[in-house]
Amino acid sequence: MPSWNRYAVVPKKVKEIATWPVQRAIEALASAHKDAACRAWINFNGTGVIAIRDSFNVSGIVDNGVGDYTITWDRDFANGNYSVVALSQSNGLVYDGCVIKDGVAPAAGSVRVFNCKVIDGTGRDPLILCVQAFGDQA
Amino acid sequence: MKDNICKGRINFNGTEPEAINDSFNVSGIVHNDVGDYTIAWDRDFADENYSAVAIQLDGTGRDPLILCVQAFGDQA
Repeated sequence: MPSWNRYAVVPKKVKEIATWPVQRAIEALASAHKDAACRAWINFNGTGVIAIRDSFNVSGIVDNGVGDYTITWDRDFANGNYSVVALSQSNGLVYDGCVIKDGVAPAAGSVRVFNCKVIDGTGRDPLILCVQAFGDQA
Repeated sequence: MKDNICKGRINFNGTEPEAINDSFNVSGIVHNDVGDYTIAWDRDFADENYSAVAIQLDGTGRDPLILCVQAFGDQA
């Protein structure tokens, strides 16, 4: 394609979208928006009196037990099918892993994560626990 | 400004010689020890309170063949 014609691609796409039925255009825009950004993230201290260091779209956290936390979203997800990932700081003696709490599927308004020692699966409170979530919002 | 846009991400090969496959806002990586890496941001975060997560595909020993890291938070 000649370099001068590259700039014609975007207007052409806009022209194409303009011919779509309204519903299809809305869905295309919503889909692009859905995939673009992290909908919620948090960095918190999971030891002692738990404390949020920084967050986005998080209304609060609950300490359910050793290594066991519920994170509540400010604006809910559309359902429980969003993607959530987590990473914790190990203490140098044992290695930790973060999982979605056994038997508790993510809900639209919250997720329960469990930080445990890889060696035996028992819970441990991490100094740093980071969680990020991506998906459709309500 | 705090928002929901990824401010730093990287996908790299952690086995020697380490190599960045793709990245955004990363100035470099340092292999400190087996499985131990430092990722330097090109534009710094405002503080250490940002949210960073990682996932890896295992390789030789405990150096991962693929290590992905992404970070969200305020920037300086």
